[in-house]
Amino acid sequence: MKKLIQSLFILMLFVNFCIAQNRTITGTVISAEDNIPIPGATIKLKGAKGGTQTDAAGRFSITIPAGATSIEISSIGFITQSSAIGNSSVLNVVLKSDSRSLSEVIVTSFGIVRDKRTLGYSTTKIGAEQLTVSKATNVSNQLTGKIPGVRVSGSGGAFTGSGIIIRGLTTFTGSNQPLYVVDGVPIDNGGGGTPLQTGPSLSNRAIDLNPEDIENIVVLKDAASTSIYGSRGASGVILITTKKGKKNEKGTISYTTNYSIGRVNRLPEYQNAYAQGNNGLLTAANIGDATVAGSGVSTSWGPLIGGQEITNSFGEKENLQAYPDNVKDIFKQSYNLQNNISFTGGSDKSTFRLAYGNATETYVIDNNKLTRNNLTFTGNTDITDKLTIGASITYTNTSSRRTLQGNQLSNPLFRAYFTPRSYNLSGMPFEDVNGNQLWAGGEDNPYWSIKYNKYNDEVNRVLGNINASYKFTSWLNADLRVGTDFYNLKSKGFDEVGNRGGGFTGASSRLVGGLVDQANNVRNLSSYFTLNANKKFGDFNLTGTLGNEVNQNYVGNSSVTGYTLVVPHFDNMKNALTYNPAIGSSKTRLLGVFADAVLEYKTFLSVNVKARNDWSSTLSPANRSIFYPAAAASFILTEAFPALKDAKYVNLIKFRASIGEVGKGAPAYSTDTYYDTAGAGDGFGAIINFPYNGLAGFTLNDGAGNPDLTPEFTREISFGTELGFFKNRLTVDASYYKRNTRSVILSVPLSAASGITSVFKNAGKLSTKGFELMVAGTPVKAPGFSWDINANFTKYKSVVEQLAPGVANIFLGGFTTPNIRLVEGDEYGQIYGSAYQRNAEGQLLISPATGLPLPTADVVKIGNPNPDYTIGINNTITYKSLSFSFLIDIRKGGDQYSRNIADVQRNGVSIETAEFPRFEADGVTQTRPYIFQGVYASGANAGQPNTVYVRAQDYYGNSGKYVAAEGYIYDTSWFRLREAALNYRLPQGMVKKTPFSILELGVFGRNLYLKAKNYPHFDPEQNALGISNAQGLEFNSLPSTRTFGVNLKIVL
Amino acid sequence: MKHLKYMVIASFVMVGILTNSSCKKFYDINKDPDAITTGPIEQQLTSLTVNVGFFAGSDLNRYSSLIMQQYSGQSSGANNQTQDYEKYLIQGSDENNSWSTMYATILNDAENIITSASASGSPHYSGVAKILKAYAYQLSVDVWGDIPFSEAQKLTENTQPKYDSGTEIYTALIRLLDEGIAEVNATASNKSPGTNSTIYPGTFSTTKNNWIKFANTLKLRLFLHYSEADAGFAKAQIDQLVNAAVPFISSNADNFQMVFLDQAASQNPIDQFETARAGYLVANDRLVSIMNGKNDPRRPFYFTQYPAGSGLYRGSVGGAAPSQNYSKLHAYLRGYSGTRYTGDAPIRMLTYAEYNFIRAEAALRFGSPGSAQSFYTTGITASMTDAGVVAANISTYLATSGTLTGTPAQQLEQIITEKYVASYGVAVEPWTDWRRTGYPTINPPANAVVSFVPRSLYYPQSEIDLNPNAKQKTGLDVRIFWDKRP
Repeated sequence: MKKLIQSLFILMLFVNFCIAQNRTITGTVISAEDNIPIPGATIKLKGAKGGTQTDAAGRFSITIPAGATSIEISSIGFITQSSAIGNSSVLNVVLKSDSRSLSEVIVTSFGIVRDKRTLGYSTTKIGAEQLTVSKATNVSNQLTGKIPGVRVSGSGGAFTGSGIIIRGLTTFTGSNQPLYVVDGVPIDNGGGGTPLQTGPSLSNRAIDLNPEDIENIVVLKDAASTSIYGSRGASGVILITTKKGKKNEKGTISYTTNYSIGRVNRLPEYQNAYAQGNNGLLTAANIGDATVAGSGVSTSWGPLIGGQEITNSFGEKENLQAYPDNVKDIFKQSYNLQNNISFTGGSDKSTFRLAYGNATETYVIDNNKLTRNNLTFTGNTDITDKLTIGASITYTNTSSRRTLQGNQLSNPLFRAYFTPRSYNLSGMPFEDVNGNQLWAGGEDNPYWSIKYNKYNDEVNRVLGNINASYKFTSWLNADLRVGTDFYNLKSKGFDEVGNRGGGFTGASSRLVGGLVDQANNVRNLSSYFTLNANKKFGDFNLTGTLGNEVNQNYVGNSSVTGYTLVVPHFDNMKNALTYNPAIGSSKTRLLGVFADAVLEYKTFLSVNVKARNDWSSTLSPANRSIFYPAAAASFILTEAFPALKDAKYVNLIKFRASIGEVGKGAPAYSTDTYYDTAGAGDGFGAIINFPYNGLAGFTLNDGAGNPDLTPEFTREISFGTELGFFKNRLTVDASYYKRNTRSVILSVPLSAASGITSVFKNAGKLSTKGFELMVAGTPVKAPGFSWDINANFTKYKSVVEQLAPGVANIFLGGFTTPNIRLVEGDEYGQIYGSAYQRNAEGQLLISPATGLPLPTADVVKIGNPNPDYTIGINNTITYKSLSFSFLIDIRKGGDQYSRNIADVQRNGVSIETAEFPRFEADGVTQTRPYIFQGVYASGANAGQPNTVYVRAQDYYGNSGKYVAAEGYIYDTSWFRLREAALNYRLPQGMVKKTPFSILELGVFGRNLYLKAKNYPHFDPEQNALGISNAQGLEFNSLPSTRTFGVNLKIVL
Repeated sequence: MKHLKYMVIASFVMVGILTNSSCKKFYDINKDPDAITTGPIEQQLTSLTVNVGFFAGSDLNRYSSLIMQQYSGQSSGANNQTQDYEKYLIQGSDENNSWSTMYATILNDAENIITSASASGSPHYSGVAKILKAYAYQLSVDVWGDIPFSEAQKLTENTQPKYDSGTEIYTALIRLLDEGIAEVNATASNKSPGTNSTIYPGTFSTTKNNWIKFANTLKLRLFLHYSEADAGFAKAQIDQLVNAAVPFISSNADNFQMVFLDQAASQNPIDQFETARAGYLVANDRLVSIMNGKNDPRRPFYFTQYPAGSGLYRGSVGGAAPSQNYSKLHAYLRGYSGTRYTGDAPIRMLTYAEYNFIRAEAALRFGSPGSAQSFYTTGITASMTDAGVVAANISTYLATSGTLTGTPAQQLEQIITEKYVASYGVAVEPWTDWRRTGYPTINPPANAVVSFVPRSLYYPQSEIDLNPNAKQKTGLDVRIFWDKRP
């Protein structure tokens, strides 16, 4: 990897050739690690200026004065070494790699490579090894806990979206997700949202990338670094560099495989003492009839289970007993199998890499499976000394099957978590011979729904680019890259005849069945051209880039929803009696020109100025041009005043500062108002689709466009420091930043009495202040043993400074109660919902008649989902050929409304609902062990303390704690062993006896330990809305898993 | 060097082209190719009539029918919203959806049709739109009271319309109906509604009479609402209208209603709700008891039997323990083929039965033309016929329960109670009758959150949040201007 960057570096670097006297020494520089030649290493006379560099094959030739006794060999990423010159004219040097090196080169944008130590902004690079510790299928998941300033949400493997927020929220209702750039080409990372009431939860499309193809990831955070990426970089940039062949590398075949299994990591603790029922009784009406939907009750507020005879919902006699595992048995063991093979190699002019990867992952619920195949080829060749061309193409096929998610009756987990304790869910049939459901509940039987309500999708995706770079002179080159990302996604959601929820196609398919066929086409084209200069003038070094970028993004969606299916199980549109098609598309174009100049003075001062101008198709001609500048500076105190540098204790003191701005256009088609297909609907799922009875209907859209929209701007000021101590065994990298977004483009809600309900406007301000810190150290370093720690800390707070005039809040997602909204003056995305009524002193107001609390009529703020801070601690312990690494993930604070917890309590199934015996000794009279602390709301004793003791069912039931959403706000703080891996690499001595050059074996795990002391029963990472600006709601979501696996790597 | 030259030239030519204003085409792609910027009035009218029919069977239908104890909210365990509504826990946020459908779809369609039809010389279209607009506002005033009217529908020009008093709006609605009738009657119209109107579909030369009858009957309904606020005005206006011999709804065929289809996503909203939210709504004991008490032959059409096959009907009382052991809404509201619900029952908004009960009340209370008894009998007959009751059973019923007796107050109670039974499934109007007359007697359920029956609904939360002219009500006891009953 280092060599790759060095190769690029060479392209950039002019060679200072200084000729003096009379003796020439030649040799080769190789890496101690793998005996591979190191290109671009600097060879110079100790204490002298100038020197030479190794060529692509690691060879060098240097002329030295006769009296010279030693030369110094240095290369980025390796420990600088002095070698004595004997009489020989040949000198071969072996360099040891320097894991603690701070002088890393980083691709900062469009192929611009810079030495990290001169950067005026913060960047973090994650290498392949650190990235793939736990072999997650989705590259987004692999960033969790590894980068300061970055928060990753979503952990359901390939079966939920994984969202990334870099340095806080930058916009209101638009996307806050970073731009993914693969080898210089922006790619689509759409999807990953989870509808609250329909459909499955989906992966974000970064799932199509094979993590095994990734060489490293650089995360750009400051606006000063992302501004060059234009409008789409406003929320940060994830720069992905893929693996390439290396020059002069002998042909290498590398094979890796890994297999892991997963289980649900946390399930509710259940009571197993009390049966299904209500008010202490289990009547025939409570049990219901398995052939009649909704005939039985879902609650477990029944009698003490004691083997008494009942007639079950199948009309059979049965002795009442508890089924402790009736919920657990729904979940199966999941697996994840990945195989990757790659062929790499290179001559002195060309390199190539050809790789194939296959991944198969299942989830803990049957009928959830994802299969991915990646085929990728990358090649580069030097056509002439000056011209290098390359191409890269990746074809991906990803297909998945999923079950339903969300707050609806066909989600197999909607009510499964509170299956009556006395119901033998896995033992009783869920269908009759004709496939009709047998289930007295009103929702779909979980097993029936898993079996029949199906979803599948398939993506075919091509990611490719061609590139050319031309070296005019030693100090000037040009770079051109044209890339494309296009994919086609086809999906089908199927609501089986007899379903009770209409999970995919809505209420209209309830019982009668329905299906939805969808096709999405995404075509992104982009190109950039840069001219890069790098020249030294005395003590000054000037690096400059001029460039342009062109993007075109097209998304086309078409879907057909069919209702009323004739033949059961036949999931084809031909089988539907009525259809509802929908067609939509959007196309945007953007052209940007930019300039980037870096002036470095000696080795300690660097000043960087940038500017970019975009022209966006989404704005009116008058507002189309978007200009934004940036500047960054770095100052290395220890280089400016070498006296401060003490080789033993202090190695580096660097300060950096940056200011930058990023401008953003509007969403497509938001400058006009349109008429579109009419429809009718209410909040309960009833709808009318057009054409209705053979008649078309058109109506003015409720959302109005605005031709006066202007760009949205995000400005960030950031200060940071980088420190190195004790021979760089302790390093610190800290940043403080302040980010302001102004003229936010958002769909401003309006009084419907105007005839429209929203209009696009530039309104509102948003600000984020944050601090991030990375401390890395090597506490122990001994021959054959080392322990490295890298801890990062992230804290930020995004505040809604201003919304549109007259707009008090903006609804981001959720229900009437609870929901997530933006409220002026408050932190981003607060949880609102019904609360308990309280008096001025904050005491609960209690109904004198029932002793139960009362809900507020309106929704109020009940929680803040934003964590106070997050910490990731990476540890790597190496002992000889063994290495052990683990990642601790800590989150402090952040509230979540948990519908799952609410459900297991109000239905009387969770263990705490049986904390006290529910019956007196007679087994009939119900105990009243609970009291709501508060005062009477009304009546003769208004204001007096409540003295009414209530039953467990009153306390936890629908009329008690459950009356207000406030009761189910839980603190998600956690301590988690996110990843761990133990790897053993066969020592060289042993490998030599095999045909292999590397043989590595390992075991790994993910989510191995979780402590969330304020969040009972479930994993607080479960979340209802997936990738969304609305966080903090959990509604019957998929569980999280704990996985263990083994891996093998063979290099031939 | 050659390669480079091409690269540089190509790149800069591209930059040149794209930034050059003469090559606007590169950026000129910001028009949505999948939508249109002007809407034809024909298809807007379809949107309008479908939405009016749907709306009258949706949220407001449930609120008013629950308040009036025709429906009862139920569940099989967990609390359902319908149970909240029945105990008067109808919060502002529950109404966001109805308000935005009313203003941003129904009234917006109507306004756009009126503007566009007036400009293009199609009075038949603007006339129909005005009549529908009047109906929509009548419903809204009766539910919310003072609402935006004169400054509404100005789109981005006025996003915070002021509130007009219900009285002023009512006055304007009469004018609007007169305009509507005149325009529907226009001899020439560039375009005329046809089967694209899902209410009164057909050839306009025929259906225009339906619109005129409906408009006149709606005027009667509006005038009757003044009964307590200004009885003299009510009498004068009704008498004048009746004496002018204008046409009114004269049979069930003239009913102002929309017929839905036996087809997914085209069924009437009551049926869709019953399917999607099975068990949320059952028959209410208040209505069922009245009908059981008179052996009402409409029951087999109105309700399912409970227990099944018993010939018995059982309604739920608000606040009763969760159970599904009740009669449910049946064929009259949902459409029924004998084996399954079809969803093709009409949503009734103003019926011939109601017309007769209006006339009966006017005759009884104001001495308006006609015989109260005769209208009373015709009203019951119209309702029963519409429900599917055979003539013999109607006669039996009329023989025992078809005669107005007792004091004027008792007779009024009989008229309004029969109107209440006949208006099963009609949104809001039974509630309006109760607010005016107090009939039939409605007692708040034991678990009601307030100790009185609501006199109007809260303004939607969205409106309070977004329109500074909206002032939330102090309670559900705030009355509409015509609600002066002590």
